[in-house]
Amino acid sequence: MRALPIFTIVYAALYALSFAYDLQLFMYYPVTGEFAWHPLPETSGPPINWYGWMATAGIGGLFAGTVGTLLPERWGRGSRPCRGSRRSRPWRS
Amino acid sequence: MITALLMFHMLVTVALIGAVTHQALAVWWPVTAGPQSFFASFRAVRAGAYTNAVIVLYITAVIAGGILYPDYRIDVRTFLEAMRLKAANGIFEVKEHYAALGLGLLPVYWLYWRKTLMDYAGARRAITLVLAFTVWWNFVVGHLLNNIRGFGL
Repeated sequence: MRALPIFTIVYAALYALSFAYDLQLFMYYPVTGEFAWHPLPETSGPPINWYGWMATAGIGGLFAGTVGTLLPERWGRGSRPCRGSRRSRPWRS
Repeated sequence: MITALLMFHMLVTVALIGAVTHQALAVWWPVTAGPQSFFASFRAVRAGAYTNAVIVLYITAVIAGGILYPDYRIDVRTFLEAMRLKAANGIFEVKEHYAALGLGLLPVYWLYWRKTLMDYAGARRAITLVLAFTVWWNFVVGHLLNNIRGFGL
């Protein structure tokens, strides 16, 4: 289960980076119906980067989540919610 | 075909908005004992029962939106750009980012709603609130964009 929070954190970070630095895995050109790794000439119409951003983030998140499950459990102890802090959080139901 | 898919996308989102709103209100504003009003009854649900439905509906809505997106990119966005409707264009950009980030949130949403992790109420409430906000934003923006010419903007 450690993989799931790792996936979400890395996915969100990679999505933001992909958007900011144009790191989309691929682009889709809806006018011509083409998928491309690199930008095509303007004659191909406007590209859609959204699919590529999610692909970059998803693959990165899956990779990080998989690596996270392989690491020793004690390394992730500090990142899990702490049951001992319940008394200091009265809003917990 | 596109109109049918747009209707399907909207209906899935309506179901999703109902499920996630029930769940969010149930955890953020739990009912207390006493006479049950309409609003209290709305919140008096087994919130955990909605989790899988929310996940399935969210993924379905994103897939349907992803299929619709090329038509939006060609027909609607070019119109918005030609009319210099920057605000409308911008809020849709935010919608697509929220949709993508919400998709990435689903694994931990599922994790914190598992019965074995019922201690983590704070995390569960926060994630549910974020997801509910995402769904509401995307619903309202999608509706606005769909009707923008009707609004005369």
